[in-house]
Amino acid sequence: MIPTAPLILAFLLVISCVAALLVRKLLWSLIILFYSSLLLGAILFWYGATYAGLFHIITFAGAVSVMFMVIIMLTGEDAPEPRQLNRQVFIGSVLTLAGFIPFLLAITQLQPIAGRYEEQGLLSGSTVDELSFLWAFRSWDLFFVLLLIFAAILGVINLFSREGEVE
Amino acid sequence: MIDSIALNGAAASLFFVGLATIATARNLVKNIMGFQVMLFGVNLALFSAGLSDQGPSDFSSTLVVLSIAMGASVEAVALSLVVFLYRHYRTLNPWMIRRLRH
Repeated sequence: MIPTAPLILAFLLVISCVAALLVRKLLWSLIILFYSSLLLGAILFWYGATYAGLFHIITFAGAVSVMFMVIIMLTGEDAPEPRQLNRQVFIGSVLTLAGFIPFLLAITQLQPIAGRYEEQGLLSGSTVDELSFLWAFRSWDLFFVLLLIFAAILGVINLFSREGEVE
Repeated sequence: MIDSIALNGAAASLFFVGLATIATARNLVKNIMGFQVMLFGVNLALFSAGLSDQGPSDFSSTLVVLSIAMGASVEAVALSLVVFLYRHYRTLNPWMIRRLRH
Protein backbone atom coordinates (compact mmCIF):
# COMPACT_ATOMS: atom_id res chain seq x y z
CA MET A 1 0.00 0.00 0.00
CA ILE A 2 1.34 3.41 -0.94
CA PRO A 3 1.17 6.01 1.83
CA THR A 4 -0.60 8.92 0.22
CA ALA A 5 -0.13 11.53 2.95
CA PRO A 6 3.54 12.40 2.18
CA LEU A 7 2.77 12.52 -1.53
CA ILE A 8 -0.07 14.95 -0.88
CA LEU A 9 2.20 16.96 1.39
CA ALA A 10 4.91 17.06 -1.31
CA PHE A 11 2.36 18.18 -3.90
CA LEU A 12 1.07 20.90 -1.56
CA LEU A 13 4.66 21.94 -0.88
CA VAL A 14 5.39 22.48 -4.58
CA ILE A 15 2.11 24.31 -5.12
CA SER A 16 2.62 26.57 -2.11
CA CYS A 17 6.21 27.41 -3.07
CA VAL A 18 5.18 28.30 -6.62
CA ALA A 19 2.34 30.42 -5.24
CA ALA A 20 4.70 32.14 -2.81
CA LEU A 21 7.02 33.12 -5.63
CA LEU A 22 4.24 34.25 -7.98
CA VAL A 23 2.29 36.39 -5.52
CA ARG A 24 3.03 40.07 -6.03
CA LYS A 25 2.70 41.27 -2.42
CA LEU A 26 5.78 40.40 -0.41
CA LEU A 27 3.84 39.97 2.83
CA TRP A 28 1.51 37.40 1.30
CA SER A 29 4.50 35.73 -0.26
CA LEU A 30 6.11 35.49 3.17
CA ILE A 31 2.96 34.01 4.75
CA ILE A 32 2.70 31.32 2.06
CA LEU A 33 6.43 30.57 2.43
CA PHE A 34 5.86 30.15 6.15
CA TYR A 35 3.23 27.48 5.47
CA SER A 36 5.47 25.74 2.96
CA SER A 37 8.18 25.54 5.65
CA LEU A 38 5.64 23.86 7.90
CA LEU A 39 4.75 21.44 5.10
CA LEU A 40 8.36 20.40 4.56
CA GLY A 41 8.76 19.95 8.31
CA ALA A 42 5.64 17.79 8.29
CA ILE A 43 7.11 15.60 5.54
CA LEU A 44 10.26 15.10 7.61
CA PHE A 45 8.13 14.32 10.67
CA TRP A 46 6.05 11.82 8.71
CA TYR A 47 9.08 9.73 7.79
CA GLY A 48 10.41 9.74 11.35
CA ALA A 49 13.18 12.35 11.05
CA THR A 50 11.96 14.23 14.10
CA TYR A 51 15.16 16.12 14.81
CA ALA A 52 15.55 17.35 11.25
CA GLY A 53 11.87 18.29 10.99
CA LEU A 54 11.90 20.17 14.25
CA PHE A 55 15.10 21.96 13.32
CA HIS A 56 13.65 22.87 9.94
CA ILE A 57 10.48 24.34 11.45
CA ILE A 58 12.38 26.25 14.12
CA THR A 59 14.84 27.69 11.63
CA PHE A 60 12.72 28.50 8.59
CA ALA A 61 9.21 28.96 9.99
CA GLY A 62 10.62 30.74 13.03
CA ALA A 63 13.89 32.62 12.63
CA VAL A 64 14.03 33.16 8.88
CA SER A 65 10.37 34.22 8.66
CA VAL A 66 10.94 36.80 11.39
CA MET A 67 14.01 38.07 9.54
CA PHE A 68 12.00 38.40 6.33
CA MET A 69 9.26 40.21 8.23
CA VAL A 70 11.74 42.72 9.66
CA ILE A 71 13.30 43.31 6.25
CA ILE A 72 9.90 43.88 4.64
CA MET A 73 9.00 46.31 7.42
CA LEU A 74 12.29 48.18 6.98
CA THR A 75 12.16 48.42 3.21
CA GLY A 76 8.40 48.49 2.69
CA GLU A 77 8.65 47.92 -1.01
CA ASP A 78 6.47 45.56 -2.98
CA ALA A 79 7.71 43.57 -5.90
CA PRO A 80 7.39 45.63 -9.07
CA GLU A 81 5.09 44.52 -11.82
CA PRO A 82 6.70 41.98 -14.12
CA ARG A 83 7.54 43.41 -17.48
CA GLN A 84 6.56 41.84 -20.74
CA LEU A 85 8.26 38.60 -21.67
CA ASN A 86 11.58 39.77 -23.00
CA ARG A 87 14.34 37.75 -24.60
CA GLN A 88 16.34 37.05 -21.43
CA VAL A 89 13.34 35.73 -19.52
CA PHE A 90 12.35 33.56 -22.46
CA ILE A 91 15.84 32.05 -22.79
CA GLY A 92 16.00 31.53 -19.02
CA SER A 93 12.66 29.73 -18.98
CA VAL A 94 13.67 27.46 -21.87
CA LEU A 95 16.99 26.62 -20.19
CA THR A 96 15.21 25.94 -16.91
CA LEU A 97 12.78 23.55 -18.54
CA ALA A 98 15.59 21.90 -20.48
CA GLY A 99 17.60 21.40 -17.31
CA PHE A 100 14.69 20.05 -15.31
CA ILE A 101 14.12 16.81 -17.21
CA PRO A 102 17.70 15.38 -17.15
CA PHE A 103 18.07 16.47 -13.53
CA LEU A 104 14.87 14.63 -12.59
CA LEU A 105 15.99 11.53 -14.49
CA ALA A 106 19.43 11.66 -12.84
CA ILE A 107 18.27 11.98 -9.27
CA THR A 108 15.69 9.21 -9.61
CA GLN A 109 18.52 6.82 -10.56
CA LEU A 110 20.55 7.51 -7.40
CA GLN A 111 21.17 4.69 -4.97
CA PRO A 112 19.63 5.30 -1.55
CA ILE A 113 21.93 6.07 1.35
CA ALA A 114 22.07 3.13 3.71
CA GLY A 115 20.36 3.25 7.07
CA ARG A 116 23.28 2.80 9.44
CA TYR A 117 26.92 3.70 9.24
CA GLU A 118 27.96 0.04 9.07
CA GLU A 119 25.94 -0.35 5.88
CA GLN A 120 27.28 2.95 4.57
CA GLY A 121 30.78 1.67 5.14
CA LEU A 122 30.00 -1.47 3.23
CA LEU A 123 28.56 0.55 0.36
CA SER A 124 31.22 3.24 0.14
CA GLY A 125 34.21 1.06 0.95
CA SER A 126 35.17 3.08 4.04
CA THR A 127 35.98 1.38 7.27
CA VAL A 128 33.39 1.38 10.01
CA ASP A 129 35.80 3.06 12.41
CA GLU A 130 36.11 6.21 10.30
CA LEU A 131 32.38 6.57 9.96
CA SER A 132 31.69 5.88 13.62
CA PHE A 133 34.25 8.54 14.49
CA LEU A 134 32.36 11.05 12.34
CA TRP A 135 29.04 9.86 13.68
CA ALA A 136 30.20 10.33 17.27
CA PHE A 137 30.81 14.02 16.59
CA ARG A 138 27.39 14.72 15.10
CA SER A 139 26.34 16.70 18.17
CA TRP A 140 28.98 19.29 17.24
CA ASP A 141 26.59 20.34 14.48
CA LEU A 142 24.67 22.36 17.02
CA PHE A 143 27.82 24.15 18.13
CA PHE A 144 28.73 25.07 14.55
CA VAL A 145 25.17 26.23 13.94
CA LEU A 146 25.43 28.57 16.92
CA LEU A 147 28.78 29.84 15.62
CA LEU A 148 27.28 30.51 12.18
CA ILE A 149 24.30 32.37 13.61
CA PHE A 150 26.62 34.41 15.81
CA ALA A 151 28.76 35.26 12.77
CA ALA A 152 25.65 36.34 10.86
CA ILE A 153 24.55 38.59 13.75
CA LEU A 154 28.02 40.12 13.89
CA GLY A 155 27.85 40.76 10.15
CA VAL A 156 24.52 42.55 10.50
CA ILE A 157 25.79 44.69 13.37
CA ASN A 158 28.92 45.52 11.39
CA LEU A 159 26.89 46.60 8.37
CA PHE A 160 24.67 48.87 10.44
CA SER A 161 27.57 50.40 12.33
CA ARG A 162 29.43 51.30 9.13
CA GLU A 163 26.44 52.74 7.38
CA GLY A 164 27.53 56.36 7.89
CA GLU A 165 31.03 55.75 6.57
CA VAL A 166 29.76 54.26 3.31
CA GLU A 167 27.49 57.19 2.54
CA MET B 1 10.39 3.46 -4.06
CA ILE B 2 7.38 5.42 -5.33
CA ASP B 3 7.76 7.73 -2.33
CA SER B 4 11.37 8.37 -3.20
CA ILE B 5 10.60 9.14 -6.84
CA ALA B 6 7.76 11.49 -5.89
CA LEU B 7 9.92 13.31 -3.35
CA ASN B 8 12.76 13.57 -5.86
CA GLY B 9 10.36 15.02 -8.41
CA ALA B 10 9.10 17.53 -5.88
CA ALA B 11 12.68 18.41 -4.97
CA ALA B 12 13.65 18.96 -8.59
CA SER B 13 10.57 21.12 -9.15
CA LEU B 14 11.36 23.25 -6.12
CA PHE B 15 15.00 23.65 -7.12
CA PHE B 16 14.24 24.85 -10.64
CA VAL B 17 11.32 27.05 -9.59
CA GLY B 18 13.68 28.79 -7.16
CA LEU B 19 16.39 29.05 -9.79
CA ALA B 20 13.97 30.59 -12.30
CA THR B 21 12.85 33.08 -9.66
CA ILE B 22 16.41 34.11 -8.89
CA ALA B 23 17.05 34.59 -12.59
CA THR B 24 13.97 36.66 -13.33
CA ALA B 25 12.77 38.40 -10.15
CA ARG B 26 13.01 42.20 -9.98
CA ASN B 27 13.12 42.38 -6.20
CA LEU B 28 16.04 41.31 -4.04
CA VAL B 29 13.76 40.02 -1.25
CA LYS B 30 11.98 37.86 -3.81
CA ASN B 31 15.38 36.63 -5.00
CA ILE B 32 16.20 35.47 -1.47
CA MET B 33 12.81 33.78 -1.25
CA GLY B 34 13.74 31.94 -4.44
CA PHE B 35 16.98 30.89 -2.81
CA GLN B 36 15.00 29.57 0.15
CA VAL B 37 12.77 27.53 -2.18
CA MET B 38 15.91 26.13 -3.83
CA LEU B 39 17.12 25.20 -0.38
CA PHE B 40 13.85 23.39 0.32
CA GLY B 41 14.44 21.36 -2.83
CA VAL B 42 17.99 20.51 -1.81
CA ASN B 43 16.87 19.46 1.67
CA LEU B 44 14.11 17.30 0.26
CA ALA B 45 16.50 15.65 -2.21
CA LEU B 46 19.04 14.96 0.54
CA PHE B 47 16.34 13.48 2.72
CA SER B 48 14.75 11.33 0.03
CA ALA B 49 18.17 9.98 -0.96
CA GLY B 50 18.37 8.33 2.46
CA LEU B 51 14.89 6.85 2.49
CA SER B 52 14.68 3.09 2.62
CA ASP B 53 12.28 0.46 3.93
CA GLN B 54 13.73 0.95 7.42
CA GLY B 55 12.95 4.65 7.34
CA PRO B 56 15.23 7.65 6.87
CA SER B 57 18.95 7.20 7.40
CA ASP B 58 20.74 9.08 10.15
CA PHE B 59 23.39 10.23 7.71
CA SER B 60 20.92 11.97 5.40
CA SER B 61 19.13 13.55 8.37
CA THR B 62 22.45 14.95 9.55
CA LEU B 63 23.13 16.32 6.08
CA VAL B 64 19.69 17.94 6.07
CA VAL B 65 20.37 19.63 9.41
CA LEU B 66 23.74 20.91 8.17
CA SER B 67 22.13 22.21 4.99
CA ILE B 68 19.43 23.99 6.99
CA ALA B 69 22.03 25.68 9.18
CA MET B 70 24.18 26.80 6.26
CA GLY B 71 21.19 28.04 4.29
CA ALA B 72 19.76 30.02 7.18
CA SER B 73 23.12 31.70 7.78
CA VAL B 74 23.50 32.60 4.11
CA GLU B 75 19.97 34.02 4.09
CA ALA B 76 20.69 36.11 7.18
CA VAL B 77 23.75 37.66 5.56
CA ALA B 78 21.89 38.19 2.27
CA LEU B 79 19.02 39.95 4.03
CA SER B 80 21.43 42.24 5.85
CA LEU B 81 23.01 43.10 2.49
CA VAL B 82 19.53 43.85 1.14
CA VAL B 83 18.96 46.39 3.92
CA PHE B 84 22.35 47.91 3.22
CA LEU B 85 21.58 48.21 -0.50
CA TYR B 86 18.17 49.69 0.16
CA ARG B 87 19.59 52.37 2.44
CA HIS B 88 22.26 53.18 -0.11
CA TYR B 89 20.27 53.12 -3.38
CA ARG B 90 16.63 53.45 -2.15
CA THR B 91 15.50 50.61 -4.37
CA LEU B 92 15.46 46.83 -4.31
CA ASN B 93 15.40 46.35 -8.06
CA PRO B 94 18.73 44.78 -9.09
CA TRP B 95 18.44 46.23 -12.60
CA MET B 96 18.00 49.70 -11.16
CA ILE B 97 20.84 49.22 -8.70
CA ARG B 98 23.16 48.20 -11.52
CA ARG B 99 22.14 51.31 -13.46
CA LEU B 100 22.64 53.58 -10.45
CA ARG B 101 26.14 52.29 -9.87
CA HIS B 102 27.37 53.93 -13.08
